[in-house]
Amino acid sequence: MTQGEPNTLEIAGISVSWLCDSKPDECIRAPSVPTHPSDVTLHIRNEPPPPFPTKEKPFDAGQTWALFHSGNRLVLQNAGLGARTPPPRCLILAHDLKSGDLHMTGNTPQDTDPLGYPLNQVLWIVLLAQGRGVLFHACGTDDGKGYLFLGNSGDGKSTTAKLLFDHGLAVLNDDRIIVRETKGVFWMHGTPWHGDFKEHSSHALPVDKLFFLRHGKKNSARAKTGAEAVSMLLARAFPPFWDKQGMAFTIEFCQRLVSAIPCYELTFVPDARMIDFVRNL
Amino acid sequence: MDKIQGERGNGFMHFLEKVFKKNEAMVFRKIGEECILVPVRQGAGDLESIYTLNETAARIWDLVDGTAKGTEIRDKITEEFDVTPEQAEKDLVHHLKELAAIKAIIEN
Repeated sequence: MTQGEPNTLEIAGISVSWLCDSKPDECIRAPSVPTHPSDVTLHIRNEPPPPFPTKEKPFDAGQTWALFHSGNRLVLQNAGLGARTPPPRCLILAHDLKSGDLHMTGNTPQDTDPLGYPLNQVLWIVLLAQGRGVLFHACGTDDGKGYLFLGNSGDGKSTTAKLLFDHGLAVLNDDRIIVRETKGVFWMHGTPWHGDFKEHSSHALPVDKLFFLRHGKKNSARAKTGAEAVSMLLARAFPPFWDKQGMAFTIEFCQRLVSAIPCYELTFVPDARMIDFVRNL
Repeated sequence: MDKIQGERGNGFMHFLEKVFKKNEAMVFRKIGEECILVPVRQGAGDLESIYTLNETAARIWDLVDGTAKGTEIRDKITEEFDVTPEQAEKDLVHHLKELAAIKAIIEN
């Protein structure tokens, strides 16, 4: 690879390319290059960002990341707004979100993703909110049919992933799944993010059943519909809380999802009987 | 609820004379007879605040338009639901106070 040649990362059909201004051997390499044009092209700048005269409509996630608007640009940084030192990574996106500059200072990351955690996930949340889909706190598995198990920390996503993997099912991811709709079909996509489970897969398949996980003393399921199901989905999603239009899309997307897919609150015991229980619902 | 009942009388009527408007920083969507409300936020605190309004609260939310007084909303609720004016008034004040507490509505 030579200087100026783009690298691309594609997750859930959304691709981000980057060009380096550093020496080629210092540039971060992506594992694959898709054949279609990227949704976003970034220039990596190994220098601090310019000062921002204004910081409007901010969202401060605390120590880990923040975003704000400055002029017609959207800025994401991997530090809180109150941080005393400049953020090691600062992404300045153009108004149309199709291009931007990623300013990096400090140690160059050694992975295949120049954004790193959490900016990679925040960027995808921003892009998904433009009518593309939603990132969920979920485990997705492939049994020939797609099962989406949603839950917050401790609800049993990793336990479910391990159980189903041990019984021959493919696991897309045990903690972060993106759902997108294509021609009325809701597809779940694996991501490379988070999760304890290393055997994850980036492939996609239609969602057939959706489960809100809860540990229990027996396997049981209660159907969930309407506003209750939408509310449960939102509580297990990563919506753009800072973006009114994006939030409206996310709620509407969740409504369409629960209208199209059977949803259950699933209490389960983590043994093989759970698999048959889920299959037979 | 006890607190609200304790405010019946002049204070109760005074509340119904107020005009409220929807907070523009609130995203809402009608789902069946219910409604989901989510505030646009500036920080990670209280990310669990996703509100579901039941049928009555959702209708009150519809009727809060920045011009209608509480008494007018009460009259609509009485017409549309099988409740007495007293019950409608009590429910209305309860829901208006809850909506105001989560900053979904603001006094106009």
